[in-house]
Amino acid sequence: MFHINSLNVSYGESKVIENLDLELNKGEILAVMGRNGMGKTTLFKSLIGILGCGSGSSIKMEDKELSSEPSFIRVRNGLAYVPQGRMIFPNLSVTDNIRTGLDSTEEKSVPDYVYELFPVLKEMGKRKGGNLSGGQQQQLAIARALVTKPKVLLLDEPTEGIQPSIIKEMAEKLKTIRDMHQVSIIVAEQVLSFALTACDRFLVMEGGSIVHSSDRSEVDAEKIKKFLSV
Amino acid sequence: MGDYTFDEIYAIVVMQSFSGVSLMCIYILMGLGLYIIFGQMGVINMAHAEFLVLGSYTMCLFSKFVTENMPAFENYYVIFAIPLSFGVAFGVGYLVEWFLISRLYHRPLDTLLATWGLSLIMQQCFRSFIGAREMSADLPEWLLGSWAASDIIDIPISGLVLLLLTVFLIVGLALFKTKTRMGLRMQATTQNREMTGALGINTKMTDRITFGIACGISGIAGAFFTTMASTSPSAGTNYIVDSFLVLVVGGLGSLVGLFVSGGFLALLSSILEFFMTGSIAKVWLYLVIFVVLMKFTRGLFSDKVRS
Ligand SMILES: Nc1ncnc2c1ncn2[C@@H]1O[C@H](COP(=O)(O)OP(=O)(O)O)[C@@H](O)[C@H]1O
Ligand SMILES: [Mg+2]
Repeated sequence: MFHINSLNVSYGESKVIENLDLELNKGEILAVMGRNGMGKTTLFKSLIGILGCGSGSSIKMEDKELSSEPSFIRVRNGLAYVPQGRMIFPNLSVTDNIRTGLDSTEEKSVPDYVYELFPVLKEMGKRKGGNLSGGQQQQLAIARALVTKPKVLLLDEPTEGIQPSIIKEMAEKLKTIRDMHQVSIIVAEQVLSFALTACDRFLVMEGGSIVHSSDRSEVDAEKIKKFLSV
Repeated sequence: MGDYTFDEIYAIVVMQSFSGVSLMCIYILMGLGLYIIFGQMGVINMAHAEFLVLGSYTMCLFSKFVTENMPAFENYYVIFAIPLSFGVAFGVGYLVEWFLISRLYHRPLDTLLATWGLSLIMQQCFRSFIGAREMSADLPEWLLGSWAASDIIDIPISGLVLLLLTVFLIVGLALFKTKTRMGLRMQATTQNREMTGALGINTKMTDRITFGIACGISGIAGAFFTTMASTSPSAGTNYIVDSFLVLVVGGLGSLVGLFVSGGFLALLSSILEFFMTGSIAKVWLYLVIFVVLMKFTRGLFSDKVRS
């Protein structure tokens, strides 16, 4: 349903992603693994339109070509983005942070399912986004992306800076979100245990290309671990 | 300060303060517009004062139109002239953002030059299409009077009206910013432009409207300006520097600062101008600002929450 073909992304002269192909199936949770600096964030930023991509690149949602559209059009066509570092609006309240995601929809107030998934966001509604803990901000960032009603959710290192004790719980949440909202998810990760709990398929990125791919049924954890260690 | 008695000086200070109120309102509105544009888009709009002039001309021409065509309406036209000044300045600002500013983001020096060029172009347009002669609006009687607070203190009504309108406008803007969808878009774009786009908000459209609103506010300042002086094509040039100073002294990014420094500069300059000639008063004013900025290098009220 979501197709990426010969994607090229560079910062000025330095090419970071070269000829990357990727296919995402409906309802799938796909892990993009890889050490720091391997191009995961660059990939996501180019998918959502924060970074432009080179000529010949194609990003297709179902049949709609998105590679030359601005971010907000991509969102309206079903892409949503939870960035690394979460990028909460620090001076907006929690509720207003969620409402920014509602802007492109018909909905006027925060839908109930958000608070069912993340009860803490209801309690914290009036607090400033900048005053939440890392874990709470992560939930907020996911909620904010989810209310845009995405078909594909991009999650960049959701476990970064999160207490190890709740990582497992987050992995389960991810599956709940997929089941409840029929959304496909691409998640960039370095934490293997998280990916093994949450994901259906595993890719490993190195130097801007995909160097390994395996399904859940045939996954070789040891091999992926080797890619992830320095 | 010459041979004044203490009572006279007191009366002069009070009266000049109140005549400074109109100037203060203009400073605050101009500073507010500059601040909104700078805060959201990182653009310093050198043509901002020309939007003030645009608002003044709108008021003057509307006044002329009313006097010539519907004299019965003369006493009330001011009420409609203010939104009209906003509308005209908004419209022109919207187009300027679309065709000029939006092409220059991330190039601060180019924007500085481009908006400076724009200010010259706008001045020339005023000269060519409206005329080089000074113009003023026929203000209704009720606005021109003054209120005798004591036997030596007279307070102009217009200053009080402007103050009231300025307060209304700022409260209105605050509500707009916090209660409407557009306001939320503006806040989000100011805080993190890329993320705002990645949540489905059209940030370019938001910029266009924001720029329009900021120019519209300076158009209102222009309508206010007609109560103080007559309008000419280059009338804005006297105000642009002072408006920037208000912003800098207030500490970029704080509304309270904007109010305090707008008041401070306006009152100081109108009190100084009573006792000395205009240019000497300016020298003293800038000296005081210099000292203030030495002491508070980031302005009186810098924004401490900004991360
Ligand atoms: N803004 C930038 N300008 C230049 N190079 C960058 C920039 N951001 C990232 N890079 C480079 O791109 C490569 C991939 O980085 P990134 O996508 O952040 O990797 P990851 O998310 O996998 O850690 C790295 O070599 C990094 O140095
Ligand atoms: Mg990264």
